[in-house]
Amino acid sequence: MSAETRSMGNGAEKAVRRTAMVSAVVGAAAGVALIPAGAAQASVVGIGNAVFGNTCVLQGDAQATGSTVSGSGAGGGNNVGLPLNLSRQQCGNSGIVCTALFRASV
Amino acid sequence: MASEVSLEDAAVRELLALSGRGLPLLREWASEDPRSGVARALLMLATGDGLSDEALKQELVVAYQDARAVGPRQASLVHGVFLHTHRHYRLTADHLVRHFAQWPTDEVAGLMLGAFHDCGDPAYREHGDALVEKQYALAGPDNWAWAGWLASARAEQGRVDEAHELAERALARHPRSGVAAHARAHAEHELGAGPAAVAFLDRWLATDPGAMNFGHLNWHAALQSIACGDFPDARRRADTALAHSDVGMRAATNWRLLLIGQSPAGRCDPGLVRELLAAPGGMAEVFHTFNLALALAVEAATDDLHVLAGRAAADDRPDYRDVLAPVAEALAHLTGGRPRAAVDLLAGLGERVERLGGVRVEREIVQDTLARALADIGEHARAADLLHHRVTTRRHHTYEDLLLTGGENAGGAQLVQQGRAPRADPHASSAGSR
Repeated sequence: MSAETRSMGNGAEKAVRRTAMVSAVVGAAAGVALIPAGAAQASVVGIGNAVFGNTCVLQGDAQATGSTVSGSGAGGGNNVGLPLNLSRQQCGNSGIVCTALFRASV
Repeated sequence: MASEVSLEDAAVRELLALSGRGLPLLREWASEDPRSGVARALLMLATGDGLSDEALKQELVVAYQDARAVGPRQASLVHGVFLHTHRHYRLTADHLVRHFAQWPTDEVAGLMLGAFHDCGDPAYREHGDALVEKQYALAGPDNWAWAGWLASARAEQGRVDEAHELAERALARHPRSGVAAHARAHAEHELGAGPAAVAFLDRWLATDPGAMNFGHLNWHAALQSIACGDFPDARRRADTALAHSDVGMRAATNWRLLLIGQSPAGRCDPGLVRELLAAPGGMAEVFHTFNLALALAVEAATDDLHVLAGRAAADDRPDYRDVLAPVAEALAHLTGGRPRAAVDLLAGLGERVERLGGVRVEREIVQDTLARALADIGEHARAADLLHHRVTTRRHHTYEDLLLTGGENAGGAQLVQQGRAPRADPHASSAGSR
């Protein structure tokens, strides 16, 4: 992305972001092991297990354990925090629906 | 690309606006800056459905490594995309709660807000709405992205005036906000804005025919056309703006037309509907399954509907067993010419219909179906009572008026009639390749 296209932003929004960043909780390694290892994860919002509490389903032998895997082989190396053994779920399909605020259109 | 990916970046801004330029700019960004983990991850968010599981994972592992090298916010964004693209929506929502606690008002993370709804749990949905409200308060009223998202939440909460005002606010700050235009469409559906809503949507879409929500906003326009009695326009939009794969929107348009005795637009291929139901995970999500049931109803595929209702009734999930099953069975009764049996099933559902998922405008068709069935058995007072709030609050309500007469004096199309109209030609639609 060019510098030109990046310079079109709103100054007020920039100020808000800067303020928000400063006031944010400091020190937590967000994005790195945010989801703790282990199969049984209490959900943040509700009650229950966030891994298994989906409307969508797993197919075949895939397991959704939610574990955090480091160096699982998929790309190797510095993957601490990405739950690489999560399988992609199947959710059914009837086309675009209202709640899809953002999804592929190509 | 600097480390602080934000609304100031053209690709991000266009993606948030659901603009037709969003994806090309994103591709350009990812190509020019292959070490941008966020760019690579957002590209997966937009297009990952077309990749194999392995390819998707590989891309996101690379994105995560690059993002971590930049900073924790970028890593967290990629992590969220990983969960979202793997369709673990509760985990995504949980992740977003933590993300916003650390990076309030992060619009880039806002691209994944749909997870709060998609996980199908009312508690999550409410939590998501509260989170959006909080972020909007933090971001301030001039932030069009958060104003648009809050407008969407308010519309779904039934706070129509607030939704409309917020959508207008967002559009005033950024006229190309697709989220705000969509939220305004929802508010105006509740208001029965009719031709005014159609004119707005047409103006908005004319500026960007490549907008990501082109088909969907045309569907909203079609509903407005139905509301004010312009049925040819509704059919035209369904035939020209919806993609072949938009089975749900096509069915929701056609079933409405049939309920009021009007000829439907080109129909879905029933073979495709059966294929979608039989596909892996074809009945995994209740709202998509409901949409497919509507598509079967449009085809008067009574036997298929009985089978679907039976499968839903045998399902362990309460939403399927207690809500989808009677709805599908009621549709079978209607297409089989037994409106009284349909009334018996639908009248008892009440607010449980919310458990079908989707949003108000999408679920409203169940109420429409009950009203038509009531009219068919001569229970006109009950039907009128059912739709009273709509005919008294919606400026244009020709559709409701026709429902209350059971489609009499209309075009004469019958719910139980076979071979009602030609099927949609997947190659004829201008949106077929979207």
